[in-house]
Amino acid sequence: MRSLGYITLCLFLVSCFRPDEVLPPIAPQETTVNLSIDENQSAYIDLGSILPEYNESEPAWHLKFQNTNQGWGIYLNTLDNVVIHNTTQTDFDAVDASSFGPEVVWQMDVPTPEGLSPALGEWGDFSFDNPKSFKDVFLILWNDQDTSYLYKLQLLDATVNAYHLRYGPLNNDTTYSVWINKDSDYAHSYFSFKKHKKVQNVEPQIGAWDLCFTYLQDSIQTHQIFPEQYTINPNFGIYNGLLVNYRTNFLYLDTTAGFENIDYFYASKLEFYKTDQLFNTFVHWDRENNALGLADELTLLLNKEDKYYAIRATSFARTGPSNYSISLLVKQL
Amino acid sequence: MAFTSIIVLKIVERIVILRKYILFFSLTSLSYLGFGQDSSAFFVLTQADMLTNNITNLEEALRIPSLYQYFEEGDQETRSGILRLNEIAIFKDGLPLMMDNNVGYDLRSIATFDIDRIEVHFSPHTSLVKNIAGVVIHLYSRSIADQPFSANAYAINSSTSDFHIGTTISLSNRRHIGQVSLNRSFLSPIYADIEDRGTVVSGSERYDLNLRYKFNILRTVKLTVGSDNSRLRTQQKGNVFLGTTRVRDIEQRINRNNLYSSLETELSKNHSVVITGLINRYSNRPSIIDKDLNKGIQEEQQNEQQSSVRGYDQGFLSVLLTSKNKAFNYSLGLEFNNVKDNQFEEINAITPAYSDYSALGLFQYEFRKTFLLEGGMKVLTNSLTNSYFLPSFKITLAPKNNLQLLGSYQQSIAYPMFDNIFYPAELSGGTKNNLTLRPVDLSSTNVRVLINRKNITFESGMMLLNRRNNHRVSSSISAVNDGSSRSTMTYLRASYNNSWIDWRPSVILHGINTTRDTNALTFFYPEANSYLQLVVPNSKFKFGWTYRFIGERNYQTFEQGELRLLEEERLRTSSMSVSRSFLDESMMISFGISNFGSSTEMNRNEYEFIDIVPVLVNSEKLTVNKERSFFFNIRLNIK
Repeated sequence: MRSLGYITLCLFLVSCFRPDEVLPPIAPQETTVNLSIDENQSAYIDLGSILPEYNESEPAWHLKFQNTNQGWGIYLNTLDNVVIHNTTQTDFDAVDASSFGPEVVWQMDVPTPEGLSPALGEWGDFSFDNPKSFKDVFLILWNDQDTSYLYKLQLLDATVNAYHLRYGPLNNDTTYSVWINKDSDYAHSYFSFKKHKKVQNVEPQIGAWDLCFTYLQDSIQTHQIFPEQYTINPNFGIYNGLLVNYRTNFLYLDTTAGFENIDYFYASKLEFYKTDQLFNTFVHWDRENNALGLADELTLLLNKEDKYYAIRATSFARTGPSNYSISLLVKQL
Repeated sequence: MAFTSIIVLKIVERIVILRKYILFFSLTSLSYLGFGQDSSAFFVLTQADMLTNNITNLEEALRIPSLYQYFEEGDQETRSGILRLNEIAIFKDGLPLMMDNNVGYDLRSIATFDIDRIEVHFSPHTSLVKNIAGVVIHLYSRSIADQPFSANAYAINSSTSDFHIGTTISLSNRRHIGQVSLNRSFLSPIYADIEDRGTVVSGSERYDLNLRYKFNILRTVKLTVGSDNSRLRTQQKGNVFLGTTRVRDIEQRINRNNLYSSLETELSKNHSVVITGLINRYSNRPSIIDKDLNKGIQEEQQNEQQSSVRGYDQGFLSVLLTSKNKAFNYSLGLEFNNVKDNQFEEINAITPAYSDYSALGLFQYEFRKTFLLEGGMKVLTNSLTNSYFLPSFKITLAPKNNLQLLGSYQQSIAYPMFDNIFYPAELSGGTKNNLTLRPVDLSSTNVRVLINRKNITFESGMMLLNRRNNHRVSSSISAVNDGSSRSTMTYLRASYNNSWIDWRPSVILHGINTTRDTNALTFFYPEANSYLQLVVPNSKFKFGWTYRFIGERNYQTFEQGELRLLEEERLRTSSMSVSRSFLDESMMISFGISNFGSSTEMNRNEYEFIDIVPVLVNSEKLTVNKERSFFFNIRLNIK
């Protein structure tokens, strides 16, 4: 009877929840991005697959239009040397070759802490559902490989989900009028003056990318590194840039913990912030070798919904005057 | 003079008769139904049936005739026609088991090891007030053996690693009777995919301590005090996040403490009074735990934990005076009830609590064994909404005969879910609360014929149930009263029993119209049940078999301004057991198979109406049962 009691007591106390299994470690994934100002100007990475997807647009685009409901920004393709000048005139036909002279100051989009500020600026009154354009006529300089073109451009009134613009050469021979419809699947719509229509496949759909390695223009004074390329504006250069899809990702740059030591529990306690662009992220100026070197102590952490990723560069190499290759280790935490 | 005397006498006689009527109506006007319970249960789940189906908790016990069950996102959903669980009254020994059924109990926290039988009633004529116009479930505890010492112990193990063990010790000197029960139950989880660790139904481990004490103060005065306590821990395991060694598990720690007492005394030869009190406390502390299965590190998420803790207290008191006469009887009662949140003292400057009190009066009049008339009313006043007048009546023709005709009408209410009243969207998962949300109005008409012969009973009938002021989620994502529903339940049951067989087949045809206010489409689904217990003649073997079939169910929902049609696949389950007693009935060993058809999932398709054309918008598999399992049960009785 006593032994029966002991057996009963043991059975009473025995726990039946299975202990957690032990899983083998998972090695970080590796990927390499090859960029070139002439060919692969941007490489988009979805952290789910980490294979870079390169910009396949042909021909190149010249204007980039915001697609969000309340967004009316129009940006220029600085990599193709598109620049602009506001004539402050509103009569489209009155702007001709006489409007162009040495006094013209060319403007390009300017990076600010709040994001890229477009050279076209506030081109209308956006307090209406259908924005009312100020109808300023802009001179726009764009090129098609070896040939440069000088056009005039006027933003006409827009509707809720489309931009309306007209443009043409200064001699008034031809005037084009186009509507650029907003496409909610994409962050931006791209337009080519050469094709006179929207260009497809410039960027992936809004949620289909997390990082984009590309080139960005910035003030030369703010960088200790020579630009990859100079622009028509002597104050601005083109630098290595990293775009972060701020709609879905939050960012943290870590230089203390080390890539190997960073795990989910460490990352989940960090204060991530929202930013859309970084310059020369994984490189720094190596004073000893007088060349760009790898910032190997830097780990870029991304928080996407409830997922965390740690990214570290393992190599950086120049493959031409304006080409480079960067290898990355990516681990999901 | 003589003529005058006759006239005076006649007047006096009339006054006396009139006073009887005045008394009669004054009693009925106070009445609440209170002659104990309606004895004609549609179905009784016996201890033998519980053994055959390996039932160890209330969740498993509610897979009984008229109800069906499935699991959605890890939580069980129990339904009967248009009724959800919060509209189905569940009582244990006449006391509310889960407060007002509106606080989201985990049914696994309620053990059934001390339950003698479970009865299913359709709209019973009773002294109970809330949730009783449709399906009412009564659990009755096992009576304590009238012996100086008795004890029993049992252990149940199954091939799915479920394990239950417990013991009960009773002491009695006829005046003082005490009982202590201890139990431990482990229920294994149901996995979503055998190749991963994620569970669709969490595993659980429960410890129970139940105490009962009876004091026969006098022959006519009895005091009962008891307490049911359980601690349940559940573990919902998550799948490994792709590309990592990390998982997220959810654990819940559920405590349930229940203290009850009743004092029963006879006031006179024909009157008795019962005073019953209950204090019920329930809390559920979920925690989200992130684990790295490679490094062996785990951390609890602190920020989300505090807002997801739930806990409620209930105080319940009822006083019931009952008469015992030959032809005319009555019951008068008062009921007080209070439910409050024990985790949030205030939410947006409002105390999350409500109370209600009910006055009730019932009468029963039997006329020359020709008919039995029962009726009465309850008046319930709720602190948040309003007063409700709830009449009821029942007529039984030929109450003493083998053939009886019965008809009844009953009104009741069902409270909205506690979180829909008090919890803002951030606490309730997105639905805005509504302090003015009224209870659902339930009313039922039940007509049946009962044939009772020596070993055979037949019962057939139909219950029409109306539900008004449905609880829905509006297009602005807030809880509102809107629309009405109707259902019919056409049923036929039989039972045949003698010394070696007990067979209880039943068939029900449910007709459900959930969106009666939107369109008048009624969908039907059949249900068939068979419960068999067989004693093998001239042996100590007993055989048990249960079979349940629930046909394909279609119904509509109207939530957030959208009408949807849902199609649920048919369900089938079957269990069997063989038992043998040893050592002069002191030991019993049973072996059984649960769900031997291994019916574990059902498909559910969801259609949205575009114009009038249904378009499939979602198709999912829902878990309905554990896979087939073998179980072994050993029970020892010491007297």
